Amino acid sequence: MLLPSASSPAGFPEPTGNCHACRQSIFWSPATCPWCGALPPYQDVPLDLPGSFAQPRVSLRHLRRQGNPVTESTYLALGGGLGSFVWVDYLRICGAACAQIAVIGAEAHPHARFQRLCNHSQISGEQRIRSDSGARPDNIWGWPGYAAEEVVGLLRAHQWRAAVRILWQILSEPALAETYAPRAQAVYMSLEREMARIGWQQMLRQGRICALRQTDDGRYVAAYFPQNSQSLHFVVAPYVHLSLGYAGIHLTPELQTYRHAYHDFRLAVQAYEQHEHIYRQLAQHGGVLILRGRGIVASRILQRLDEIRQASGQPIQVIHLLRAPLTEDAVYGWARRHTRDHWQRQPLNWPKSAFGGDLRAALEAALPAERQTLLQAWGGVTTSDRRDWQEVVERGLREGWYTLHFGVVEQIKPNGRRRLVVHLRDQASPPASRRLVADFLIDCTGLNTALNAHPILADLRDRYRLPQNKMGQLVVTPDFELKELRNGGGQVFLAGVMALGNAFAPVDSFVGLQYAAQRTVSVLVREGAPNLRPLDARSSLSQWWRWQRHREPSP
Amino acid sequence: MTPTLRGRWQTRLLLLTLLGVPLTGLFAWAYRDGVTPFALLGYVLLLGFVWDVVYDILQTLRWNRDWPPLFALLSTLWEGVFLWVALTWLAEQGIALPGISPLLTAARFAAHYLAVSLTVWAAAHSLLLLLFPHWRFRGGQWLSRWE
Ligand SMILES: Cc1cc2nc3c(=O)[nH]c(=O)nc-3n(C[C@H](O)[C@H](O)[C@H](O)COP(=O)(O)OP(=O)(O)OC[C@H]3O[C@@H](n4cnc5c(N)ncnc54)[C@H](O)[C@@H]3O)c2cc1C
Repeated sequence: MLLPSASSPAGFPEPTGNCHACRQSIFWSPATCPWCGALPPYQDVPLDLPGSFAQPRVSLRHLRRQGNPVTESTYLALGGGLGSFVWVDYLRICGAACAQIAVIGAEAHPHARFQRLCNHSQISGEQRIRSDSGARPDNIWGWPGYAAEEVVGLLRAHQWRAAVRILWQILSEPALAETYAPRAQAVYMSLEREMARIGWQQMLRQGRICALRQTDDGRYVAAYFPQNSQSLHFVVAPYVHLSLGYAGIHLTPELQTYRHAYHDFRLAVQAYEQHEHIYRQLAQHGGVLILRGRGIVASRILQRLDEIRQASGQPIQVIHLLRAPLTEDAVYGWARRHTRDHWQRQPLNWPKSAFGGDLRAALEAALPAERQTLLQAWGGVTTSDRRDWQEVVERGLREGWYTLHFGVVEQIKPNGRRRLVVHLRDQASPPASRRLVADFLIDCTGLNTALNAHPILADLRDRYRLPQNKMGQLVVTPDFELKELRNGGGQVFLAGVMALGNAFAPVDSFVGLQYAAQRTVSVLVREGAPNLRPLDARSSLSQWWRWQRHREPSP
Repeated sequence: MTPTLRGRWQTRLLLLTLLGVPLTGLFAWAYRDGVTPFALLGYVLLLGFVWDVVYDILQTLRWNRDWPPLFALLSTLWEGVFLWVALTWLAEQGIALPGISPLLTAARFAAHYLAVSLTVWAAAHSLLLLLFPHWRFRGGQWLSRWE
């Protein structure tokens, strides 16, 4: 539930706890910390780590003597989100048994956080996500893709035209048709099916991870609070996979300052926060809204605003506020990514070939120092190359309900009549100050990837002196190993967005998570980790056949 | 799968051997000519290695540096047309390529070529993904694995 706009903290209910990252009191149960944007599990817990955790190497004998439950496992996935799921899926398919795998995560479903972030940013189950047909986190082969399933469904429903359109899309995307993307619902359903097939619930221990340490016998120990428990539990394992996702949503300093000063969480929101009340009010009364950011979330919100505008007939004005104009195309080698109306569009968040073609190989071959330059050339903030989104922008500009403004936000204030005043400094020389008045502000400037905001990873860095790359993230090998954490035969891997800036660009994508899983499991197979066998052509085919018939992976 | 040059070569070699050879055997049996279909398959493979270099360069002109399935289909058809035109032109010049029967007709060539190339195209977008999970991440290289 959202708080009514309050001018002082006086009207606040009792605090429900503190945020572990910013330590501030939280007064209700928002999906993210309203002060710093930390993602769940953000509520502080009494951290009574045993004294041995102050040492880099924990003595297991000592730990057992203290009486807290200590269990053992061979493979330990920390996070329990999509990255963990994809890794565990790979392990199961390569022969590991449920009993050998432990997963610790805050959520009951691997896609829980993903789904919440999608829902808040207006990608409901019916909406299409960004990635393509073959990016299936439930299927390590990527075939048949989501498109094939959708086509079969459409043919059964005699919707021939729609079926043919999708077939044309997957045949010619992204050159002659826009890239096919599945509906979010299709992804969730396929994940639920695969969860059941591989026995996810059997492996999952729902709880909150507190820390990871090396043990004195060449393994690792993770400390966690099981859900609804006040005592620490420990899991010891030789192979650990970390995929903890983002640290939080990105709350700009201006927004943080505004919240601290005025305790208002309704008029100015981050797009990943629940903000349905804004659409409700606009549908009833119309109004002016400031939109920040130029990524996929800004595109989708603009589309939603257009839908409401058309359905309600209310006058809704969208001011798209950008830091600076963007007119130049991105150029790499002989190729260009075109910029239109200050938006950059490409089908996926990286050029396709960074997922497996020559750009993937080029990045891996590059020296660590050169990688950031390559990543900057290929990446940047882009939105999907979708005609419907482009059409909204063009029509909005033509009809005048969507306008672009440029400037750096200096301050956000309420104007006393339940509206916002945004003070800007533009880029003219000398810079001039301007003001914009609006009913709402939605900030779509993304998610927080700062290592310092990630308690478990920052703690590992400090404790074991882990090196950071040029993008400030932890250095991992091309096999996603945190090499400095090697402990005898034990190994720790890191996947997901927190592995950015290393040898692989699209770490934060379904396909990237599968790539990471494949590389790490290849290492484990090579090292002779228990029960794993290489996925050669025959076993791969037979395992796929089991997937296809929804049979449990064979041991 | 977004191919690299090595990946293209390896994939072409694998599919023309794995699927092209048995299919060509069928055509050799049907045409009662044990040489021409196999010689054609050999030319397709050798010329293909050269075409792959051209496609690889064209790919770098694209921002995504990818090769949509449609491009793969069109390029395969183009290679067939090119080979047939080259064969007939050479024949007109009085040059007979080794292994090619002078009785080869356009219809026979087309039936054989389309059967092989369409099968190979379909397999490259399905079967190989299932046989080699690393293939799509290595730009079509199936021979080498992660070191
Ligand atoms: C809105 C949105 C749309 C996206 N769309 C696409 C798309 O279309 N295609 C695509 O390929 N990718 C997409 N991505 C990117 C990516 O695939 C997802 O972010 C994916 O969920 C990343 O998986 P992950 O395991 O790294 O993180 P998550 O799935 O977020 O999992 C991390 C898990 O770790 C848990 N965790 C963290 N700290 C602790 C702790 N201390 N104790 C216990 N648990 C903890 C969290 O609760 C969470 O469940 C999208 C991302 C977002 C945010």
